[in-house]
Amino acid sequence: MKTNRTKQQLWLQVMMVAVAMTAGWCWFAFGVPYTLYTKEQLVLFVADWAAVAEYLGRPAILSSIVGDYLTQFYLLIGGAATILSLFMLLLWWGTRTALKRFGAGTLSATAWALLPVAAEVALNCYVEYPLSMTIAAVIAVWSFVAWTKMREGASKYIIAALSIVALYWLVGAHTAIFVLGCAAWAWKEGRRVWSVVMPAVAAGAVALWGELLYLPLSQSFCYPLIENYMLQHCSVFLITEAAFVVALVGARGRAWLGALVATLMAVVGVAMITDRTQEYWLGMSCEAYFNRFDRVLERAEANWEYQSYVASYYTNLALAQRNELGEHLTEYYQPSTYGLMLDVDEGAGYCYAIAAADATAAIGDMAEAQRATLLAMTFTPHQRSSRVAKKIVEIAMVVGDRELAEKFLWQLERTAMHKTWAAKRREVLATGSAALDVERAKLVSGDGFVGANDWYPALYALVEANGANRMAVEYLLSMHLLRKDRERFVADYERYFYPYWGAMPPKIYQQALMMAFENESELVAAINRYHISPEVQRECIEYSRIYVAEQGSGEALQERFGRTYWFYCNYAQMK
Amino acid sequence: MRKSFIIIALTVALAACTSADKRTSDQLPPIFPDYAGVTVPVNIAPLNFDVTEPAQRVEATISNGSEQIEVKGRSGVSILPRKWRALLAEAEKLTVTVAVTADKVRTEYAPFEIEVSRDSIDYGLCYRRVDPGYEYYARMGLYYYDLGENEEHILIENTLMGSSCVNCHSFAKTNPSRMMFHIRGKNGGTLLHLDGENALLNTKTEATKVSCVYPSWHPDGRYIAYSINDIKQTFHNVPSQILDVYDHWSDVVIYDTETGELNTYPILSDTTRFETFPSFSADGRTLYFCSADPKAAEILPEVRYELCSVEFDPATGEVGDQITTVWDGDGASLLFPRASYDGRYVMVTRSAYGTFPIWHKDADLWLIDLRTGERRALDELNSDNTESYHSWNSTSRWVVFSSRRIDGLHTRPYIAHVDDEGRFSKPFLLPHDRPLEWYDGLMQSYNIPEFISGPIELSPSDILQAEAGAVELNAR
Repeated sequence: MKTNRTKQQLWLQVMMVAVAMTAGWCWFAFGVPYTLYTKEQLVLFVADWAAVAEYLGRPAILSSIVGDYLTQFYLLIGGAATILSLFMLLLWWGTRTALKRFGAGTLSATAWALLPVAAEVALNCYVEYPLSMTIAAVIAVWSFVAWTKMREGASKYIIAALSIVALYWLVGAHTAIFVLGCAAWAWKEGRRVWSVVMPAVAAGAVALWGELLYLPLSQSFCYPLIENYMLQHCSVFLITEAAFVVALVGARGRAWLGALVATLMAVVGVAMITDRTQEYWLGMSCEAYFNRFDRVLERAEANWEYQSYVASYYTNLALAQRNELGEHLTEYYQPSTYGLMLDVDEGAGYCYAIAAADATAAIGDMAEAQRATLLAMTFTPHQRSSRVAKKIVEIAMVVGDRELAEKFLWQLERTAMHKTWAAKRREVLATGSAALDVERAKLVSGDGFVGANDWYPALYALVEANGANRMAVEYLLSMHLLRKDRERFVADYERYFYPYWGAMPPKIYQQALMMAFENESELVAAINRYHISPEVQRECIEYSRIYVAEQGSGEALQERFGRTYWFYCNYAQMK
Repeated sequence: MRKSFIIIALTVALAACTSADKRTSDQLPPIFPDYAGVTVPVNIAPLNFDVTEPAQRVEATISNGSEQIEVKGRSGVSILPRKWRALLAEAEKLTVTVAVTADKVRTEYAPFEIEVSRDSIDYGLCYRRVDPGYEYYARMGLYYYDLGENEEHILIENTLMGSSCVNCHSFAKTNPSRMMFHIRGKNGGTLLHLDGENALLNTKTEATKVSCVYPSWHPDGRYIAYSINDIKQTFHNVPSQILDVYDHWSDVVIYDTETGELNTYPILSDTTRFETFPSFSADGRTLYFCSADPKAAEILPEVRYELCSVEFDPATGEVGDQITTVWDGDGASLLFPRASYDGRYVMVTRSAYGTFPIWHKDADLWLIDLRTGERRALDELNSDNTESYHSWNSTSRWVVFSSRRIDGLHTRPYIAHVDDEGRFSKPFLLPHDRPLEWYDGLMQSYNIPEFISGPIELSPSDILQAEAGAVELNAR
């Protein structure tokens, strides 16, 4: 009977953990995959002495080195989900062992140990929450478990105090788990003084290391998180500590309650922390980075509810890659011109700055692309980013800045996941390529001055330098269209688009041209000159008829003409 | 039997290890940094180097004629400081022979020489490390580097100060006891460190409208000349130049550390001219500065700064009533004048136009001989890329300057020797223990390298204490 019950309990435990871990894996793999891909892009782990030595000057050296090294593998499909799940399993196992050391029953410990795991799962949904924090939690919990196994006595507590100082240097902020565990243990053993001394030692360690490593107290408390720079409120990491304490207390109670609290914590935490809009546009950014523009458009078509400047920006870039901006521009959400080019300034943030270089580099505005990449590198949490490094290499290769390309290739060659990419680029650097020549043909030759994010002069310089640069021409025309500047659109259409591609005008351009001429004879001439299709002519007449009949009511036009330039022109407003 | 087998196996393994083909090359070894033909001071730290090509083994023999040391490494060599110092102590020059083993081929390259100068160099360099863009910044700091030990020390990092910008560190004739730097942003000011006393000054007064910018200490350590600039940014539409900076207006003022007054002068606040980049002469009786016509500022590529001077009376703190044009730049813009402490030279950066040569590839160093009036481009120091900021050591036998010659983006400090005849040696990159990894891995630029004659006795906590309250200045 007893054996049956034990077997049942074991089965229940296995099921509980298997379900929790599978759910975690699935959430990481399918719920927030792009947040996790982005984390990889924010790391550039160069396997050499100087790069590793940089970690020595800050707390959390062990967790940061291991974390940044492993974050590289987030680039693999399912890599992030697998790595995180493994650490979650270790965290659960460590916490469960700790709870059992406190006298919790096996089943209860199994359930309540899921609490810190739930907290870490939720926290990992922040782009800025590094893997090193989860690793730190694992190390802290297991250090505590190891410590509890020491023989009871004053020396045990002295060792704990010394361990706090060392552990902070090794894992940073999550040392708090160890501290809380030791304090609770001391309390349990009736050594009440030590349970007060432990937090005091921890505060001293944070202050000491802060002084030694030149960090203000507010930073050393959260390190490796950086207040305001990475997260608005870095102290959110304490959710895990709180979950650990709740588990210590709760593990004396019912197992089912532990499972319920853990589930609630995971669901609420994930729901509160996950930013679906951000995940959506990070997805577009990542797919563009992976050069899968088809998927960018798929996402654009499938998710209208997550509109943002960056989502529009990548939609437009994907259209431009196919020379279809003029065909589909107003079929997607367009926040005026803010979705064509991204302005980068002090408040832009790194995700925005990283994205900004993609369109500018694609149209050949390498000056602006270079500026955006340098700022992106500056804005990233540790001024290192594999994605930005690759972009710098690409730009440097196009502009012929060989030494700069080689510097960053040298770094990328020493990474786990980008060395093949780097080797291929080094080959191209040596031999050249047709694709490189195409990009070089887009470059502006004469120097000129522009304001920051001043797109018109930059676009005009590009189309003047190379009339065949269709992407730049389409961006210029789209900018006119989205600003509803039909006069400049017609002038530049005539000057830059018509000579090369005028025989087959894209649909949105045809619609704009139909709108540009009010005089009937001019319109007839324009229809002939610009090859306006009979279909567009018919639709225009129909649009005008309904517009007049309904006295300008947009609702009557929305369903049929909501994605036309006419509708955009008449009704689109910036909110 | 087993023993015999082990012996045979070891012999074969040993033979395999030593069976590399041996070749000689008449080329110089592919090392970084390039030390071939440079002149170094007798008290410099070991010139460790790495090879820039894949290697399994690097061997170097360094000889001073009577003694030699041999060093080996996998991809570079790290020389023991003790052995290096002993070698340098008696040396006039060093001969370095490098052999690189790669793909089982050992190639011995042509030896090269390093001149050893008896002119000692100062204790170290102080510089800022900052992201190369200059538009915005993240983590930055002021650091000083012990040239005899290859050790970097933190003076202050902006992470300690709410991510404020720190810049324009300056010393009275390399004296670390009389120094200053600016802290920008909230709670900012100019930190003045005078013989152990620290004060944070708010140099923005009603009369000057903006805070002080580019400094120059008077050689006796009492006065600091500053430019005050209303600075704007613009951007280029061709790559690799990115950013330009220009002034809407600029004047020169002088701060008296004894009276605590910021002195303004009509002649240096001429509304018909820009005045910037002040620099005192060695005797402290002349103030050099750069001056431009504001009318040209409407078109940035037409802005040309010329080098001017005005007399200065250290007793009264007054300037003369006559401005002299030392050199009009011959159609180019002259920036960052720095007078040598022996009174012989003024070194300037010369660029096609403007006031911010950091991104100007054409920017080069020029030398003006104050005894003969001769001016020349310092071809010994210049490269195809940007050379910009520069400063002299306390004996005026060494100069340090910023150059972007390595990758065109990140500024690195180079040091060169100047002899009695005003000839400059081939410059060498600031030595580092693992130079290739350090410089290739470093994403920041070295900014404003200044010599210091000793360690800086100023701790971050001293700075933070001073930051607690800024002293308002009176402008006179």
